[in-house]
Amino acid sequence: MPTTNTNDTYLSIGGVDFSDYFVSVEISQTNNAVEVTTGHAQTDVQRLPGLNDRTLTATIRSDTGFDTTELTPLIVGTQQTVSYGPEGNTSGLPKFEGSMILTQIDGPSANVNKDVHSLELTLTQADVPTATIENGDTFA
Amino acid sequence: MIAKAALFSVVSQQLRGDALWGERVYHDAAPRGVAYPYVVFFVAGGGELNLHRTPDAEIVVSVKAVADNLAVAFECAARIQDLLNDRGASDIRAGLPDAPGGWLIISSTQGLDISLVDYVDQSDKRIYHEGAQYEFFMQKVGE
Repeated sequence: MPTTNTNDTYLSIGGVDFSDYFVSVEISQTNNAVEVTTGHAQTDVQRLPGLNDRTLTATIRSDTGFDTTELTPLIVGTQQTVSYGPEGNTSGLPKFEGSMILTQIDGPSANVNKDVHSLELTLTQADVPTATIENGDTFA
Repeated sequence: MIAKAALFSVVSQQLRGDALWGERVYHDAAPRGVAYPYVVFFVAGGGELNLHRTPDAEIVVSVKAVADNLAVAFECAARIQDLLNDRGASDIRAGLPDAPGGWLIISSTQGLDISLVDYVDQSDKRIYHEGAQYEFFMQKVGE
């Protein structure tokens, strides 16, 4: 089976398609395992899985064409539905979707070296996702 | 239209008609016997940038004046700097002609100097090349 390598990524935040503006997207999952060691004279820690959590970070380029439509979801502290397809949003392709809170926006930053202006977004899980890639969920 | 073609069109249009060299602006090489001073420009590097998934490019172009007098060569280099440095659409002195083919030149930035002395044929007559490299950041925004 071939590996995947594409820039046909799909990213929607709050119903706004940012696919044409994306520079990079990454979603990470964590689980804070809980220690449950009991009894005395134990020699090793015992744990059970804790709660799952997810963070999505995205870099999108700042564009002179941004209007109120694109800017509306980019307000820190707001809860948005995020839809992400690393290979695109064609039917059958892997899909993540869930409610997330925009917890940080860095940028646009500017410097005299004329680096491209971009926004770095951090979104944190707000609820159980409705679709996850690891569960085999896909776009309809 | 590829980025390089659009860029050549803009650079040529921007440089032509200056009081120092008139219409003597050539890409890659000047014709034999052309009067001094004249300007030559050619690609020094770069290409598709792949910073965005829409077409974009970062192309470095060497632009130099060729003259048989050093003072004139320096004066031409200064004019080239004024015409090309920081002239992109997002730059502080925006003023390049519109690029064809749906391309937008977002920024133009002067880089390394070009400076060399050559001799005409096998005589003692010196010719002076003075100019600089210019980095053009471009993005396709239309058709």
